[in-house]
Amino acid sequence: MSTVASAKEARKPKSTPRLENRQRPIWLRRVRHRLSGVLLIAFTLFMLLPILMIVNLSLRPATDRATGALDPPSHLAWSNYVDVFHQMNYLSSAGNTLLITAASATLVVLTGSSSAWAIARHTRGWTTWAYRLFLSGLTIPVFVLLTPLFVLMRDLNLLDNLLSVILANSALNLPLAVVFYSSFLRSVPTELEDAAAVDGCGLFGTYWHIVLPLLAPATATVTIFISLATWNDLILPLVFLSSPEKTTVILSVYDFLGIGGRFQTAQLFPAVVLASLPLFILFLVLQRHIVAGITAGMGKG
Amino acid sequence: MRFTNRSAILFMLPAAALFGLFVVYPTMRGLAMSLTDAQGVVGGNFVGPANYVRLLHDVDFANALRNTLLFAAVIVIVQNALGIAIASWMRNQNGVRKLVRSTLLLPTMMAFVVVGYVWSFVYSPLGGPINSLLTFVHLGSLQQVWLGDTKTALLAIAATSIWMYLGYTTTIYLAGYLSIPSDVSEAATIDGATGWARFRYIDWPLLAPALTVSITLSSIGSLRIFELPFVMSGGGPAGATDTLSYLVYRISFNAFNFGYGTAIATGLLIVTAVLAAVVTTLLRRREVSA
Amino acid sequence: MHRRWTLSFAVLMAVSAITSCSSGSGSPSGPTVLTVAAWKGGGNEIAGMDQLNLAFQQAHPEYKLEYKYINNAAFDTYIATRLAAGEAPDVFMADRYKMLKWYQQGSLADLSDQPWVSRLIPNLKIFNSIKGKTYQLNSENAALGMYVNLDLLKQAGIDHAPATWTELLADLNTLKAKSINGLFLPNKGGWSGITLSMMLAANLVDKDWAGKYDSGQSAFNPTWSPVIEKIKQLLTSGTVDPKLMLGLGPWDDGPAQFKAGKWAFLLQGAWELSDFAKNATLNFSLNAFPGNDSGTPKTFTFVGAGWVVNSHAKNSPGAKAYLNFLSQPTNAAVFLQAETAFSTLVDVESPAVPQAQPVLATFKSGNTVPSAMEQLNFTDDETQLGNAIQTIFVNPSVSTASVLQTLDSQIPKTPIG
Repeated sequence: MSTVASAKEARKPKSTPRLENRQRPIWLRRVRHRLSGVLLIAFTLFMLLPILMIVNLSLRPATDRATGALDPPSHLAWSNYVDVFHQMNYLSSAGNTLLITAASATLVVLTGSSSAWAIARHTRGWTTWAYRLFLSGLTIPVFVLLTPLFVLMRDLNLLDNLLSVILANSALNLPLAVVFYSSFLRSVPTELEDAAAVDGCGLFGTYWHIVLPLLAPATATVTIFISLATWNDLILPLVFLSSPEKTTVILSVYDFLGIGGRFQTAQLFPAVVLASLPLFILFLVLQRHIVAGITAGMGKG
Repeated sequence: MRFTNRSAILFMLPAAALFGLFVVYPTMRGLAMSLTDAQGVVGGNFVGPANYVRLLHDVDFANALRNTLLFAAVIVIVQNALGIAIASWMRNQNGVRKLVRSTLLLPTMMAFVVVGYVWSFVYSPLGGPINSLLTFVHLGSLQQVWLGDTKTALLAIAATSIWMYLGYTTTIYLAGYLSIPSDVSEAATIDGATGWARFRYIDWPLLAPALTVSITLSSIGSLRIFELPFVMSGGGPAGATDTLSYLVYRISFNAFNFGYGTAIATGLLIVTAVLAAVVTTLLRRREVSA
Repeated sequence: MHRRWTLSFAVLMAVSAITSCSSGSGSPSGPTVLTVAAWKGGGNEIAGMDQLNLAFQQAHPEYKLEYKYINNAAFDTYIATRLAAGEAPDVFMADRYKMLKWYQQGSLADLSDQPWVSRLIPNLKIFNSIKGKTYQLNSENAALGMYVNLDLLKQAGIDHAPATWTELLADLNTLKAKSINGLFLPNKGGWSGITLSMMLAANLVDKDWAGKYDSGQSAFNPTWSPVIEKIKQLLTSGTVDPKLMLGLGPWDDGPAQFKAGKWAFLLQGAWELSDFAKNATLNFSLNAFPGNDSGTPKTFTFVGAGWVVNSHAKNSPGAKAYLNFLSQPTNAAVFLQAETAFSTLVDVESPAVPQAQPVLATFKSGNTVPSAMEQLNFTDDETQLGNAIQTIFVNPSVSTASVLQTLDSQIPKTPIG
């Protein structure tokens, strides 16, 4: 490394066309920094163009004749949102989806973390194999197990019951949690847990009072991953649920798609915005924890 | 530590029960179907490896396999390269970083179906935004029928997938960057390391853990690609964007040929498992030596 | 911190409690539940079902109708899993493809003794019966044809819709010379290619061809050669840009462009008509596709959207009552009107919609044939046909023989099990 540096040092006395950054006047560095920041925001906005388009079109009255995707609407048609809100039975469907997501996340966090703790702290042959089995769960395409799973739910009398979606969904998301928690735990020293043992805390007590709180950043991350996967999942709710009062938000969005997938922007787009809104809010709230979690979980792999 | 075999089993029991009952058991049954001639509820006679033999000669399977691997290659490489680039760009921007990070994740929160339809519109050859933009900046000659041309359809759909998950990948790499010990960063700056040299000798090795996570996740995820081709191109034109998952869906649920469908799904599973194993091993080795 | 987890446990318990008290279907005394699932009757595909369901409920208070609309793309997944577990609805919507698949599963109830069977139009037998037994009540015989924008034609100095193939090609050239958009053939996903080839086949291939296919007495090669040749001719005429068309969608771009009055010709089904008619300034008609030079163009109909009864229906009498209700002339007419479809029952008149006059005349004079693809037993035949035609769009100078050979090998002759 210092060879590179010294090579550069050696070249400096002669007039170099490019000054090293730290040699430039402060004001220039500031300007570059600012410019870089502005460009970054510009890039982000560019990435967001399709979403801006969706929001824009969602507020366009159905009677507008405009064709450009980013042409502003003649007036903000909030009525689109109101209509869609009712057609989607939003409170009910969002409520169901929220329930499924919260329950799945809780289930996965609890079962995943307890498993991962055992795997990370009790390294035996069989726990390694258990870990590998969980890992392989990430590779299974859902269509393989869909029909047998449906028959199983039928036999358990859980059809048209939100619980079937919760259980199936949790099981399918477990591998990710186990893998993540294991990797996180492996980079955490056992001092706190040992101390708890010395203090006479049982295994369960240690888990509940020490390990879980310790895992908080990883939990935030796992929660957001599972929420992303669950919220927009179409297959499980489609197959397991039938009654109209059990519908989820993504299924209601699907109702706005006609044959061959055609739709009215004044219907589908407000539906999409409404559907994604709770996720976005959840993310904003958990934001800080997520990065902390990913950072920590990645520290030593 | 203080775990005994018995207590370890106890702690793993809930997860094992959930996973075993709702994933492992149905998967076993599903895979078993691939050894039968099941057509929905009829058939179901054991035919041994007949479905797999048929698979090896199936032109549609070969085509879908080729497309799937191509999708994965493009997505993994481009998404990760862009992710690293943007993360390094964001690294020094303390102010805007939080805003950028959350907004880049917005695409990930939208349902596949809707993303597919919106981007189909974006790619539309009749006044779609991309072609309009190209005309606007006098690059009209670069206009394509993005989803209708066998040469561009797969790349166009891959681009959409990358758009969806770039924020995800960038977050992982940003965290990776942020976990580079500050004394190492400072030492590097003092030494005058900038630009490409800095990246190659300092950042790249220290990003190894992030690389492992991101490449593993993006490989596994992109091999399963189904909804986007389904919505945006119907697997066309002329099968140019047909993927293994889509093929499984068509054969199992359109033609009711569960036996053969699950054989293809097993094929996909094997491909994924092999690739994941290879990727993880290579990347883990890098991590250790870094 | 602990409170958070306790809260989560509470959530989990609450979920189990809430969800477990919501199963059960109907009390022993009182109306029995009747479950129906269809890809019409909801969302943007109402087809008059809302009105019909209401009327049914009023006429039959002894049944509690639970009607579920499922998006067409998700329908197969919805039904397949439920059938496999014996949880499918009492009545569900079907077409011939689905009827064949479900028949082979043993999932369809034999409806041969139902009162409406004798009222079904005789030449539709293949679309509702298998091996002599009736399994389906066909609700619509939907014509597909060529929509013609009469105003655009007038602008180009053409005063009537083309009635022969040569006229069509000439008109397309005239339109192009006047910079007016001609034939819109959006083929993303392959549907327009399928439709075009079948319209040509209706004109150029013997109508008995389809019935002989699965017994091995007919094949694509060489009988469909004229069809492929004409497609190639069209795509190399300079009036249709195949590459552009591959990037446009038949269900969104197609109707939207035609409804906005931007194209002179569009191949679509009669079901789009009522939507097109909403544009009061659009002066159009629906004609048979001029696929030959005889002067009497023919077109084909698709016998879609019928109803079948679950062989393991929990409410068999209710299911049969529902079908019977839908088959009553006044009720059947409601559906036909909403879909602008031809009747499937001998005592029900096909709705007379002014723009559909030409195609109705074709129907009445016996110049429509039922969909050839629908008559073949290989249920994925349309997908294969779509792929094959797309290869022509990709390369219009592809060898006709190779396309025909591909079709014969990818659409195997399938006897009904």
